[in-house]
Amino acid sequence: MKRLLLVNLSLVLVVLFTTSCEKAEEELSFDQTLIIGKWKSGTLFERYDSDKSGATWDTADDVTEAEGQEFTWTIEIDQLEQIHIIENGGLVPKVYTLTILTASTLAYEDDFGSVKTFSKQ
Amino acid sequence: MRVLKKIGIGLLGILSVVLLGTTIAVWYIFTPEKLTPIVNEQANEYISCQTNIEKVEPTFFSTFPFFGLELTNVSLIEDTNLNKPDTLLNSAKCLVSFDVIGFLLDDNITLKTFIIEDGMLNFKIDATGHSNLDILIDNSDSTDTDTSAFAFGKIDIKNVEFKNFNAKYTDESTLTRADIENLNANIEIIYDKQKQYINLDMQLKKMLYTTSDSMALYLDVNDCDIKINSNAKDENLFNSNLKFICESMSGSMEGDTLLSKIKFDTYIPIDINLAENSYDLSKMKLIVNDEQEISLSGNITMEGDSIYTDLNYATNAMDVEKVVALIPNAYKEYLEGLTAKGFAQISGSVKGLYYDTLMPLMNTNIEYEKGEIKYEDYPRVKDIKLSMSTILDMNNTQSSGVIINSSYAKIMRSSVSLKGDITNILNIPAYDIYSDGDFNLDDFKPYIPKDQNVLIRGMLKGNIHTQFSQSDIDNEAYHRIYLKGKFRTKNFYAVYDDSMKVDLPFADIKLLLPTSSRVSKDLKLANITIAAPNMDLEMYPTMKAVTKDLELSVEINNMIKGVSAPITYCEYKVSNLYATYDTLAVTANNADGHLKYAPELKEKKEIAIINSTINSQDLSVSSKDNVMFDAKKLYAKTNVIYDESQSNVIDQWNPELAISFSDANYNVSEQLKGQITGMKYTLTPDDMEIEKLDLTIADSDYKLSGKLSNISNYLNDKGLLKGDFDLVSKNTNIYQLMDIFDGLGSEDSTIATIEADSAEDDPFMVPMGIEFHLNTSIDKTIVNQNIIENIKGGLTVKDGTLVLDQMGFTNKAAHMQLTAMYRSSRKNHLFTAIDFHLLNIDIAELIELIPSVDTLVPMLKSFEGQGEFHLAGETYLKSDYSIKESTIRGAAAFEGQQLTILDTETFGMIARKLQFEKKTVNVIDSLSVEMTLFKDEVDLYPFLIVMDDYKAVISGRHTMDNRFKYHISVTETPLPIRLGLDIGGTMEELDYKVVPCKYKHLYNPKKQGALEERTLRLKKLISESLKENVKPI
Repeated sequence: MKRLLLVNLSLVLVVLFTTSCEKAEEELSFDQTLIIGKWKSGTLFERYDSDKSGATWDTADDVTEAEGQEFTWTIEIDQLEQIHIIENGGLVPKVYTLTILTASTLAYEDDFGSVKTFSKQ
Repeated sequence: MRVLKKIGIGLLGILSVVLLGTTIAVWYIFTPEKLTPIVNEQANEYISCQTNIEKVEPTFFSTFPFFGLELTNVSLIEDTNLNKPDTLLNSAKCLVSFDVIGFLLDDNITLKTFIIEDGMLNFKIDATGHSNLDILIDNSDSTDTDTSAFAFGKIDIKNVEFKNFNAKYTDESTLTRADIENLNANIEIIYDKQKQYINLDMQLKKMLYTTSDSMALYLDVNDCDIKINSNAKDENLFNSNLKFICESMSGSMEGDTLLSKIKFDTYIPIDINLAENSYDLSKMKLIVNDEQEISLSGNITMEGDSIYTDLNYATNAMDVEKVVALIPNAYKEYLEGLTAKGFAQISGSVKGLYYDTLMPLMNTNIEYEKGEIKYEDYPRVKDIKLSMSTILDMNNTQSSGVIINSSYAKIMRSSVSLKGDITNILNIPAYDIYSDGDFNLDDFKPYIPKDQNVLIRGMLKGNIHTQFSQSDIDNEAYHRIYLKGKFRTKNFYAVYDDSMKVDLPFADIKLLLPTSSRVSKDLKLANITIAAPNMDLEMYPTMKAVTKDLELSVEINNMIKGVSAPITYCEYKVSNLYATYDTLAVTANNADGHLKYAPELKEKKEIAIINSTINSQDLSVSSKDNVMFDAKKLYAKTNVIYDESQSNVIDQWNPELAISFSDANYNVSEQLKGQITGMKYTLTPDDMEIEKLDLTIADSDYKLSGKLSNISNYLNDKGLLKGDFDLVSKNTNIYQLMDIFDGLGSEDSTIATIEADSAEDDPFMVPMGIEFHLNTSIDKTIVNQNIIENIKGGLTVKDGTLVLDQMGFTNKAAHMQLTAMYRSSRKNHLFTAIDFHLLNIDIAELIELIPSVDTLVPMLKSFEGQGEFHLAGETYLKSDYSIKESTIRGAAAFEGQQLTILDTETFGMIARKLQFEKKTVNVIDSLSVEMTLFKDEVDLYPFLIVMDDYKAVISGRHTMDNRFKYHISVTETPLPIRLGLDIGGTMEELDYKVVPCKYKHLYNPKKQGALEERTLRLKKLISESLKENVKPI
């Protein structure tokens, strides 16, 4: 009896979680040319160049644009992918979901709910 | 005969008649009573002054065969028209007889007798120049005056005598006065064609001569005896003798006494040839005070304005003390404090023509013996002997000079002798002097200025030969001076200012100035060599040096050329040297070497070339109670070319340096001690090469070699400074090294504090323009009690960046490779990066080796086994080395097989939540974990754990504040359901929440979506980018 109850409960959960794992989301697409330029969020700056390179720096840490750390970027639909380059070797990917990309505003969030909003400089 | 007898009787009769007639005339016709008025009257006719003759008496018999007149109480009174007419001349008795007939008939003057007794002459010249002796009245008719020269036919003056004659002379025009007292004189003069003869015999009791002008001359002569005898062989040739004796002569000028009761004896025998105007002195003598005698002989011939001399002179051995006493007080100020004794004899000659600018050649010989000189408080110079001669040719037809044949003097216990010559003294004197000396240096103490705190004692014996000219001195051309000297010292001891001491028991010293017509290229001037069996130097209280068997050769620079150092070359050899400085002591055995300083002038600027070598069989440096360093076969060579016009320090110095030694031990502290078995090092202006450095530090050993190059270009901003070194070690004890440096740092807490304080604003800045590479090969070291072996890699510093380049090493936990970078582009923006690979890692030992790994990958400690760990990261630092969080970038990957999950509390909780079937040993088949570090976010990319029948995917993020957001998806399980688990919170307080499975199809290629593909692509990207730098083991 106890085994049967467990099997039934499992089936219920399978149904529930199977559906949950394949949940379809509504995807937005953005004009990636809008991202070209320098963006500011407080003291944090990001610059996206047309050659798909970019740099980021934070003036709060006394870093200038010329000293900004480089990355490459791509946008696929609403996914902004930054590949940050470690000088000694090694790459650090960061993937964000774009929520706003206009001529003046850039906003994205990552999988852990961290949101950043930039204004165009 | 009868005829002659008759003629004789006839003449006798005539003579008797003449005598009888004369007698009658004298007695009855020319009586004084008759004659006196006539004479007085006639005198007034011819003399303008008043003449009073008390009595005029003719004489015949007393003046036979001539008539004479004897005048009694004769007086001549000045012109009575004057206010106060004075007596011009008076005489108690005056007798005159002469040949009147001869004068009248033949113009012969035959003065038979002229005697003046008790006479007095008062001769005056007034301010207008008129003499009171202008008393003759000119009664002649000027038109009848015979203007032809008065010519004597014959002069025969005999028996001219002055007795007790006095005279006064007053010249108001020249302010001159003279008084003569008690003059007695006899004069005899014969002059005719056959015979010329003069005889003067005069005695003068006293003569006083004064002037009242600015010269203020004063001359007091007493008891003089003058004799002149001149006898002519013919009218041109005279043999003369002059004798002048004055018992006392005093004189002064301008109040300064020049002579004080000096006695003069003068003898002048002279032959005079009037036709040739030639004078022969046979032996003229001048004797002063019966002691100082000067003799003169020879010939003087005058022809027109020319005078030819051939004279010889000589003195007797004069008492110098008495001669000095003759020097007038006015001139003694130069001799104040000086006393001189001894006997000096001077002789010489004057030979040659004196005419216009021509001067005769003068030779002088001086012999000085038994001399003594004392000056003020200085020691007496005694036993002086001097033999010298001089040649003086004012015409410069030959060299004038001084020849010192020999000389000797003694000062207390010291003596010195000198000989040589000084030539060309009228133009540029040239000296050639030999000198010998034997000095007791104690004797020279009085010569040291009292304000100089100098003590010198000991013996110095030696000789010097020198040759130089005055122009060498005047023009400071010291390179032209020749000087050679040899000295030997005994018990030399000198102290300066109570601090600098030299103790030289015995030494041979040689001095040489080689002379050169031109300044030598290396500006070398002199050489000094010293050979001293023992020498002790001390500069109290810091320095002391003791040498044995010292052989020192020093070349002295020509300082006048503006060079900056006095020594140009120094060569030394010593069997033993012991030197201390403060608490340090240096000992060297059988050492030799040289120091060469060869300055050159380049465009009037000094280019100093300095070369030196040091060889020492063994050398040690000791502290108070410890031998800090000792080595054998020490060799050091230094070549430097200093050119201050260059801009950088290397080009200024152009150094060449070579150092080598072997078998060295050092013991600087309890930790810092070891051996240096060999060292060889060279430095050139462009390269610095360590050919060999084999040393041990405590338990560590090192072999260092390599080269630093392109130094010159680097300093001229033309290129990078390049260095390439190899460091090989069999064993390195890192902890000992850390202890050593910690110990060194803690020795001075003040410095440590300052460094700590200043580090905030003064971080280490990697030099720009440098490319430096150190290849290391360390067989074995221990870190965190882990033995690390085969450490190989490089340390590179390049243009502001320091890179620890692919340093590979192994221990029992892993094979490791490390690349680290530090770049200091500016003080508040310091870049650090690391690329770290751990191959065949034992997880537990890895965490033990690098504890910070646990912070970065906290779940790693839940596994046991081996795998690969790759880590790359970078961040920028502030000037105080604090991290700029916004710049943190990192990526890590771990791959392992057959890992065992440890049964930890966390694992137990997860297993319970996910319905894992826990076994005693839970083995994971494989594990591939990728994670990134971005700012404060550590993202764990989904990875698969396969354990028996279970598969689970884990991913998540934790932040630097230790907050977790993890998810575990169970993708395969014997259970019918696949659950997920979210784990959040902090490590101390984890929150577990069962959630739907998130990564159901991540590792199922058939069901993978875009998200899964991207996730796997990024994982691969991370992993491959990390592995790119891994070197083959």
